[in-house]
Amino acid sequence: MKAFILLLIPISLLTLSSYAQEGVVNLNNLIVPTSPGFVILDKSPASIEKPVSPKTFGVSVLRLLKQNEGGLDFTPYWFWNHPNLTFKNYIDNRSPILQTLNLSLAASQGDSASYLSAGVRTHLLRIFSKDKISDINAIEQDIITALSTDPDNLDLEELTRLKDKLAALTAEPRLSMELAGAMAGFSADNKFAHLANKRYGAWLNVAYRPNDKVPLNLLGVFRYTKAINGSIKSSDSTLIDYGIAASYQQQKFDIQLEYVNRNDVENHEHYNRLALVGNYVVANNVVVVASFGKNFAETENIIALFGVKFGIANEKLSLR
Amino acid sequence: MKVKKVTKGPFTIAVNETDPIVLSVTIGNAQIGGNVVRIGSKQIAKGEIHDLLLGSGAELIGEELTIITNVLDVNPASNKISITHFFFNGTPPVFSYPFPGEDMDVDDNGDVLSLTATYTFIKK
Repeated sequence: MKAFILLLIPISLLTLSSYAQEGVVNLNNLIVPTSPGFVILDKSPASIEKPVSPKTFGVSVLRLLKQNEGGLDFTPYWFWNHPNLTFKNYIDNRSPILQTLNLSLAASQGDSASYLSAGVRTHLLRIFSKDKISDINAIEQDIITALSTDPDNLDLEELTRLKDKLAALTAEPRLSMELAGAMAGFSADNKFAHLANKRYGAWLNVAYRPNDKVPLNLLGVFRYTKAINGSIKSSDSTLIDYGIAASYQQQKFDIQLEYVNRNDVENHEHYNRLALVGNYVVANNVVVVASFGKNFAETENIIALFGVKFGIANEKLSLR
Repeated sequence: MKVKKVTKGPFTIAVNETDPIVLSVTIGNAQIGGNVVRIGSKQIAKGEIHDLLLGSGAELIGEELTIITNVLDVNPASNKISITHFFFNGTPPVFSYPFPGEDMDVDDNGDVLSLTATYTFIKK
């Protein structure tokens, strides 16, 4: 059954790609970034993350077929109104640290042991090309014109078209840089009182889009991790990761191939990770993620991960 | 895409007869909005409203001002809508919507909130 479901993922990615071409919503606006708590534990689908705008709330459920793994993240800035934050101010802000400051908790629980981790991430830099800024300003003016009428006369189809066009433009900066950090505790007997710090670290994700017209991003990561009584070697480890990735994106899916090299400084060991990661938007703010490849560890290092991520822009949910 | 309609007012704004009364409308939360401004039944402006001269206090006293502000939720991170009407030389000078404790969120990204606010001018 597990193998069958895993086989379905790439097949569905291929068969549904025709629908993706017709999609009008940009993936970067729908996708939910993986909690840093998963990244620090090497349990995230991707080791190199493209910086995307976090939602007010996000929920991740990973590794559905193996053990309980889930994460919860939130962006406090959007809990409150910001009357003076105009669209222009937001787009012109090249360092949206507060707007993207995202806090998260992640947990991984097996039959006898648990990991609990906390993480933080924020965008240090976001730069749009001059052409893109010009296009964004033009669409903004078109939207203002379309909105400047009585509410009964609004052309909703035209507004939807303009809004989707704007979303596609604003989701693709030329250069973006994200700083993230996390710490993870481990309990060998699933008791909270026995939770002890196992790992902590910080890293920088960089995304560069060479050409506005080609949906290809080049990604990079530099990460420092301190592993206490590490999982790879029994002694403490200082791990330095650096890696690159290429991400090809359509409007409803993206595929990323990544390679990360890990240096265990204290134990003079090298490891690497090679993974193919896919995200597919199945519904608004619901993203299926799958990852396959080889992880860092020397044993049990096959990555075969399947999960679902939810993004929630509203702090209130209503059941209808 | 849904349109959520909200009506506010009429509120009174006190003005001096000799002062020019100037209106600005600010859309917050990184959303985008457009406006229609009427005095009585006459449309005097539409689009972005920055430093719009409504007239002198003497011209406005006794008149009813209607501001229709339609806001499109273009911010994928938030469904909150914030609209501020600022009256230079008016008392009170600022009407910031939603009022404290009120809800003016839209349900989904891409929805529109339409606020119709009315004001009447009185002598200060």
